[in-house]
Amino acid sequence: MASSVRAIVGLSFRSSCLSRINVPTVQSVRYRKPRWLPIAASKEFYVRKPTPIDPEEHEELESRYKHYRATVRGIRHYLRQELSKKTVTTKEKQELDEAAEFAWMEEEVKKWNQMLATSREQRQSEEERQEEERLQHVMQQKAEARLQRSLEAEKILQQNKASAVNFVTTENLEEEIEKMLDSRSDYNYAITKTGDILPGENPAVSEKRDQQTVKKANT
Amino acid sequence: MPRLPQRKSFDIIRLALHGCTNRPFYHIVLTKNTRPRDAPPFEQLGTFDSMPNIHNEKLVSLDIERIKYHLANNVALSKPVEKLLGLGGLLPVFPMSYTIAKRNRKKMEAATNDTEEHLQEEDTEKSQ
Repeated sequence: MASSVRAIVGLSFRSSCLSRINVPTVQSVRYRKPRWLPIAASKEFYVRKPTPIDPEEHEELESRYKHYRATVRGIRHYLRQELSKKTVTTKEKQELDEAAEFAWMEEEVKKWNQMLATSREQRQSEEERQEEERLQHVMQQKAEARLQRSLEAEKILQQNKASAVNFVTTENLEEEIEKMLDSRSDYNYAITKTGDILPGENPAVSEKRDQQTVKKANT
Repeated sequence: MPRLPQRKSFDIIRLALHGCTNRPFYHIVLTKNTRPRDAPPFEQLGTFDSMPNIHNEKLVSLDIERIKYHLANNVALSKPVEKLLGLGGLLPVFPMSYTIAKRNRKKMEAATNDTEEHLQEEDTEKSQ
């Protein structure tokens, strides 16, 4: 009671604030007890009267409920079975679909592999041919080079053989020594800008030099 | 504020009130039992217009296929929904429906008896 009075007072206060005209506001404000508040003082010892039960009705209802629940359980069971059947069929179908898809995929892979194999064989044969050509070329070059080398070696051999005629051997060693000793030359001379040799003091050599200079002058 | 003990949570098909003032209209929905009455449901399975129309009919629409599916998956049903399904023929008639019908019949009989008695009394009065 007190709470409702409080609410009405509050309302009137608000209305006076909002509008200057003092219109009586009638509005039912229903107070609700929050859950955490204790039982109201007036309801402290209140006990609800139990709903009267007609024994005849009660008996009938009990039997009916029993029957009803059993039937509903049966219906649920039946529906579950139906559902499981449906799912099984769908599973089989799924398996079939999967098998078909797998076969199709296999075929596609086979095709792809075949295509790849042909192209690969072509490429490999081409590569083999190129390799063979290259090898042949290399062999040819090598043979040519070998021939060239042998020719050069022959040439060098011939040259050496030709030059070997003048080699000093044990047989003509004495002779050669004699020759060298005989052909002594005197380098103790001066040369002019024009290439003339001005002989030194050794008379024997200077004579020879004279002769040589004369020869050069003549030529 | 003291905490309340947790309730057991399960899926349930029940009515959600979606009308305006003085115009009730219900959705038959699948939700968790712990959720608010008109919270967005997992699935709407039908409607129920509890106000009789001009032909004195209360219209109900049901998604039978889905309801069957949920029944198979052991989803609970609220009492009003059980009543509706019983009247719809998907489940046996709900026991309380019989009782209420009986009570109504009794009431009607009593009313007719009353009126007859009343009329008879009036007749006797007139005759006297």
